[in-house]
Amino acid sequence: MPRQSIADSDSAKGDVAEAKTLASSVILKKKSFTSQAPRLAPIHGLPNELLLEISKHLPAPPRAALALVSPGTMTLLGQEIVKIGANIRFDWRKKQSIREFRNLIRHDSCPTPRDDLCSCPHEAAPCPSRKDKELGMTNLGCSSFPLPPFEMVSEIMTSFEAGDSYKALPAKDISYLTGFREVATGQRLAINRAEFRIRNRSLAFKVETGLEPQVVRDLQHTGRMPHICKHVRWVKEYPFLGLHKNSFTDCPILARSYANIHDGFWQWFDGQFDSSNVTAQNHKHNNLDMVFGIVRKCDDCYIQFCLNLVPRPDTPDRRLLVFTVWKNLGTGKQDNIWKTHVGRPCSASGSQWPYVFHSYEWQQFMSTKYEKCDRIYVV
Amino acid sequence: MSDAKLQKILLQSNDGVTIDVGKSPPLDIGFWRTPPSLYRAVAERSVLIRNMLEDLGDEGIGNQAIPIPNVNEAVLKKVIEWCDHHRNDPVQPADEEADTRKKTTDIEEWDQKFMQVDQEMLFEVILAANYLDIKPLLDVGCKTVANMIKGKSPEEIRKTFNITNDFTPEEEEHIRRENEWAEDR
Repeated sequence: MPRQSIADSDSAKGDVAEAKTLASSVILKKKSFTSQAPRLAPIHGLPNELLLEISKHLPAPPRAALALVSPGTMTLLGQEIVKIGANIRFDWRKKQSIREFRNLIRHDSCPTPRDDLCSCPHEAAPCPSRKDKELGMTNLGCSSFPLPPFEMVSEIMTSFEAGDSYKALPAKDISYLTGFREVATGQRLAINRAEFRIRNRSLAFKVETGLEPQVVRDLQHTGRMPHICKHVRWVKEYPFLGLHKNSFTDCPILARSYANIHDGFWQWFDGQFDSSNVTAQNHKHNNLDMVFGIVRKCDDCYIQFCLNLVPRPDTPDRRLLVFTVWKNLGTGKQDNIWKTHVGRPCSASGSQWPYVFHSYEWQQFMSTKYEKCDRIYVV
Repeated sequence: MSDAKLQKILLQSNDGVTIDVGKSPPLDIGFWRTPPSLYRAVAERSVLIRNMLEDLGDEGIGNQAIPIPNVNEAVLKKVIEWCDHHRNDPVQPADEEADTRKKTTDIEEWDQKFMQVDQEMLFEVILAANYLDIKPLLDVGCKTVANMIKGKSPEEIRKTFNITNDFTPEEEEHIRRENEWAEDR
């Protein structure tokens, strides 16, 4: 059977979740076809409330592992695999209940600036006066003291290993992880969310960034379109999104092909798409129906990515381009998977222990403060 | 000291054995025996029993054994042993209790040794603590199980607790795939 990706399993989540809700018992479904039913494990005798009681003593990672033990525990505890939204001030250090967490979500649906005290009732509509203030804030990355992604991820990984000491995940860091950094692009992201998961003691996340197609085109035109990873660029994978000088290669035929695909996309987006306009017949991106929702994978670092065109949540008549990236960060900072994302260190000549490197060849997960460093010390 | 405090408490397990709270095995060892004044304090670690005693009154108790229908002799003796050791522990207010007890999985040394039993007994004690409404004992039990879960993968948890993998083949395939991606490199 061909190996399937995390993205496949993610899309299949809905079906499985439906199946899981049908599971009536917590752990225990006796297999009726066995002639000699095996003796049930003692834990099977625990009712749901006691399993929940046990789970309350666990930090998030082992709670997630417990959830994956059986369909019953998945039904019981699966919801505790927390999704981190863009504007949620969720403090991992406090092991908040799901109810408190939902209150936080409600609270953060209010567009009160992060540093201001909100007087709105959580359930009420957002306060209009504060809405104006929020809209005036164009760049989340500049709004507060930055928490570098590298530190954020290492904190999460530390907590994964040690079982405590969590830190919140600011919205700007989510955008950093997809590459669409608001600091760099200056664009306000319509969708900006991350979901962390722990599988086999590895940490991974799924990040989604949603932008207006016109914004994406502007990014392309101004050369601010980010990379997916160090090997793949969005513009290279989806050349119809916009045109940029980097889209053109030495090959004029390919350049013309990109231009045609670009025109085709925008005509299609505006409802005037005529497939005969697309002349690059054999190009893999010439059929737009085959582009959206198809998960691709970087052959070098195994990052998976996908592009979708979805209705905007607040105004369904408008559509957003949603860039999704799945990444596996490995089991710790010494893990080769982690190092793959950080890149190989470029050593300084004559360097001795503790090794000193001028830089990492790829600094996607490095803090902005490290990017400016002349030297990076690795012990 | 009131007479009520001097009264012995008899509990009857679901297998029909009557247990004198003052004569549970660990307390009979050597020359030490629980003074009668503490019998009631030990039994009242259980909110269920405390409420029953209050409802029955001193006269109502007499020499009758209080039936504990959900707990067998071995487990009941184990629970009484715990209650006896913790008879002088302060009773925390409900709110404070809920707030503090879930913050850590640290377990006192005596409790750790107390919980060094086979899994069947461990879960029986948890169930008994839940039934008898002894929250601190329930906490100790849950923390012990939580410590057994920490740092383990789902498969290791299954092995530890001898849990049959009840995922359907389709679900298992789905889970396997979800796990597999993490092993790509």
